Amino acid sequence: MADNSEMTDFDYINKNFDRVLGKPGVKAVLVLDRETGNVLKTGGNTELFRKESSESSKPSISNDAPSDGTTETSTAEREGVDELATLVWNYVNVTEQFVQDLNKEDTARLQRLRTATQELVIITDPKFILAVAHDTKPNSG
Amino acid sequence: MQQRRDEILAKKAKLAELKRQRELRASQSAGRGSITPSELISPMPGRHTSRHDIENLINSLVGDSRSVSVSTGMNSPARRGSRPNSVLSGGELSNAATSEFQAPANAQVVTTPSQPQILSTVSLKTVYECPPSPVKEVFSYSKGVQTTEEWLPPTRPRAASDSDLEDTVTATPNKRLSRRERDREEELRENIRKEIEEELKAAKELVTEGTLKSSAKENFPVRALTAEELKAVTQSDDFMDFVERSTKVIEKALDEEYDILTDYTLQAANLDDDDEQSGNTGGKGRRKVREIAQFYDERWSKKRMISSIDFSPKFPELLLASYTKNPTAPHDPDGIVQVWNMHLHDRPEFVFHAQSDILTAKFSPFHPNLIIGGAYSGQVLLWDTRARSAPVQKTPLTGLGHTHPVYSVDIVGTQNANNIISCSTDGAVCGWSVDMLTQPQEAMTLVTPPPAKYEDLSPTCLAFPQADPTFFLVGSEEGTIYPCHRYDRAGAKAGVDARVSYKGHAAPVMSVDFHPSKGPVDLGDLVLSASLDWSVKLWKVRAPAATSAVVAAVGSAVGTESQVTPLLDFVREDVVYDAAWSPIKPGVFSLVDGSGWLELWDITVETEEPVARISPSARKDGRTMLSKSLNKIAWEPSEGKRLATGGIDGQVTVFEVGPDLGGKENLKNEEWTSVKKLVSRIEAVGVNGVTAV
Repeated sequence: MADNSEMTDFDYINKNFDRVLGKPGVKAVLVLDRETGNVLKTGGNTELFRKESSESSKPSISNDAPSDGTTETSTAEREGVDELATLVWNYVNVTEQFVQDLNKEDTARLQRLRTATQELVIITDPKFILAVAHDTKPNSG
Repeated sequence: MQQRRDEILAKKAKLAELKRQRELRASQSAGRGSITPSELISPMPGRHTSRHDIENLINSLVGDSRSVSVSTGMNSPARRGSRPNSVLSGGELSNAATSEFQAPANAQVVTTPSQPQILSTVSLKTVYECPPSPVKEVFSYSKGVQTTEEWLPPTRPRAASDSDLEDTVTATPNKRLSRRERDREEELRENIRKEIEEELKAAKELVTEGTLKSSAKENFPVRALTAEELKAVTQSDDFMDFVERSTKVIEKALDEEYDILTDYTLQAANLDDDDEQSGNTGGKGRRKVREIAQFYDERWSKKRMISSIDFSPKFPELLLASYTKNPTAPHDPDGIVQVWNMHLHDRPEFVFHAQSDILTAKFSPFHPNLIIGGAYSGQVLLWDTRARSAPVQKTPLTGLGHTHPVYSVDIVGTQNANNIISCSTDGAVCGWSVDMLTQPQEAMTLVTPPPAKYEDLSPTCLAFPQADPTFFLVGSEEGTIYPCHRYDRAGAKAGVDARVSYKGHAAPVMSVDFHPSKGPVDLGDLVLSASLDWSVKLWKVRAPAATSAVVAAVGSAVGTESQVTPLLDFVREDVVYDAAWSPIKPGVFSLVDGSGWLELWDITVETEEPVARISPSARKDGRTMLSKSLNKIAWEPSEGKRLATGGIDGQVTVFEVGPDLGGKENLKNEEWTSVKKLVSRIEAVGVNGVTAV
C-alpha cells in the first residue's frame, strides 16, 4: 500500500467495498437506490451472482452456471446487472410488503437468504439497498 | 363573405334606383305644380321661382322621407340579411358544422353564447363522435381527459369574446382559429396514437414474457440516472452513512464463524480440528494462550502507537484502543480512539478523534455509551458512541484543569454519583463531573512529602481500590508509589499521604493495579506495579483508614515516613510497560514488556517464572525493527478469558487463555486462600526471601 493517510472519505468508502469484496467467499456486491432501484455501485462478479441467484430455484442445473460469464461484452454485463438489480429490488419490495402486512410500523432491515449454493445478505435502509452474495461453508446443509 | 358583399351591392343598386325614381317623380310633380301656378300667375317669375324653390325643397324633403319608408318596406329581405343576428347565426351554423367534426372544444364554442355556464361537461362527451383511430377508445378517453385541461384555457376566452361581440367580424377569426386548432389536434391525435401503439406493444411484450418480467417492467427502472446524478448520490452523506453502516453489518455477518446451517451428518470437509495446533499459541494444556484476533486499520492505525486499551464493561465483544499521533499525516487528527468489535475483524466499530495525542482512554463503567480520555494537551475528553467522532465534551485548554499531559484517568463512584478523576504529569489531580467538563469539581496538586530534594511529583499512573473512591495510589516518574487522599480525613490531609510510601522501583512506574478481589477472601489490598526498571512488584497496601494506626505501631511517631517494601519482586529481562490482575482468577496476572512478550503469571503456582508467554504475530507489512514493544494489557472483565495487548506497531492483539488462567467455570475457593496464605507467609518470613509453593 502507498501512503494511505492522504485518502479522502470517498476513497475510504470504496475501501469499505473492497474490504467486503476481499472477504473469503464473497462473490459480488451491489448497491441500489431504494426508491427507484437504480444501480449505484457494483463490485465483484455480478454476472456470477445473477446467474446463480436466478437459478438457485432450480438446483439441478446450477452446475453449468459459472462458466459462460466471462466472454460477454460490457453492455451485456450492464444489462445483466440491471436485470439482477431488478430481481433484488423486487425481492426487497415483496419482503417489505410482507413485513408491513405483519406489522404496519415494522420494517425489514437485514435479510439473509440461504440457498443450496450461496447466501445473499441484503441490508435495506429507507434510501438504499446493499446486497452481497457469498459462498457458504462446504459442509453446511 | 361573398354573399354579403353581393347583398350589399344589390342594396346599393336598389337605393340608386329608388333615388332615380324619386327624382323622376319630383320632377313630374314640380313640373305639374310649376305649370299650374306659373300658368295662372305668370307675371311674377322671381316669386314663382322662389316659391317653386320652396315647394321643391318641401317636396324633396317630404318626398324623400316618404320614399325611404317605402323603400324600407320594399327592401326588407335585404335589410334582414344585413342584420347582425341572422348573419352570425349563419356563420355560427357553418362554424358549428365544421367544429363538431373536429373537437369538443369547438362544440363548446358553439354553445357558449347561449348558455355559458354549463358547457364544459356536456361538450366533453362529443369526443366520441369522431374516434381518432381504430384503437380502443378507453385509451383515447384517458388521454382526452388529460389533455382537456390544456385545451380548455385557450377556448374559454375565445368563447367569451364570441358572446361579447355578437358581430359578423368575429366570424372570420373564429374560422381561422378553428383551422389552427384543427392542425394542433391533428398533431395531438397523432401523438396519442403513437403512444397507444407503444403501450400496446409493451403490453404485448408483457404478456409474452411472463409475470415476473411484467412486474419488473412496470416499476423498474423508473429512470436511469445520469452520471452526474449518480455521482451526487454516491457522494452524499446519506450514502456514506449507509455504506458505513451496512458494510459493517455485512462484515459482521461474514465474520461470523459458526455456520448455523452446519450439517454434522455430512462428511466434515474442513480442517477445523487442526486449528488447535495451528495459529499463534503459547503455554501448554490448560494454561494455553491462543491468539484469536488482531485489529489494525490501514487508515487509522498506521504509524500510531497504542497508548491504552480497555474492554467495554457492558459489551464484552467491544474493546477500545487509544492512539498517539501519526507523524506522517499532519492533516489527520493527532489523537484517536478506535473501538474494536470481536465480531468485526477488519475495521473499527467506531473511530473517535481528538486534536492531541490520546494517552489514556477508558469506557465509563456507569454508562455504556461514554468513553473518557486524557490527552497530551492536558485535556480530558468525553466521547459518546451515539455521537460523531468528535468529543462531545472536553475540558478547556487553559485556566482551570490540566496544563500538562494527562496519562491517567478513571471514573469512580457509584452509578448515580460518579466523577472523572484525572492526573497530569505536573502533579495536578482533578475531579470532574461527567456532565460538565468546563471546570473541575475538585482540584489539588500532589507534592512529594517532606524528606525529598524536590517538591515536584510527577505521577504517571493512578489506581483506585475497588472499595474506596476517596483513596488512590499514584506511581511516579522517580519510581515511588504514593498513597493519596482525595479529601481531608482523620490523620491525613487531602493529597499525598506523607506517612507511607512504597519505594522499590528504581525507574518510572508505568502502571499500578489493585487486585479486583471478587472472592471469599479479601485480597483488595494487593497491588501490582510495573516499572521501566525491568520488574513487576507485588505490594500489600495499607488500608487508608488504618494507616495512622499502622504507622503508630510501626514507626515511632506520627509524621515519620514509613517505607513499605514489596512482597514479591518479579524481575524480567526487559522494561515492563504494564501489568494487570486477572479479573477472575485471584492468583493470575499478566504483563507486557518492551521486547514484545505477553506473560501470564499465576502466583499460586509459580512466582519465579511465568506460566505462559506469547508474542503477537507480526503484521505482514509491519516494520521489523523496534516494532515489537507492547505498551498495554487489558483483561476482558466479565469472563476473564480474553486479554488484549497493543504497542508500538499500533496493532491490537486479542488472546484467549486456557481454563486454568481464565474463565469462571472451574474457579475454586482454594485459589483465594492459597494467595492469602502465600501473602501471609511472605509477610511472616521476610521480604523476597521465600519461593512460592
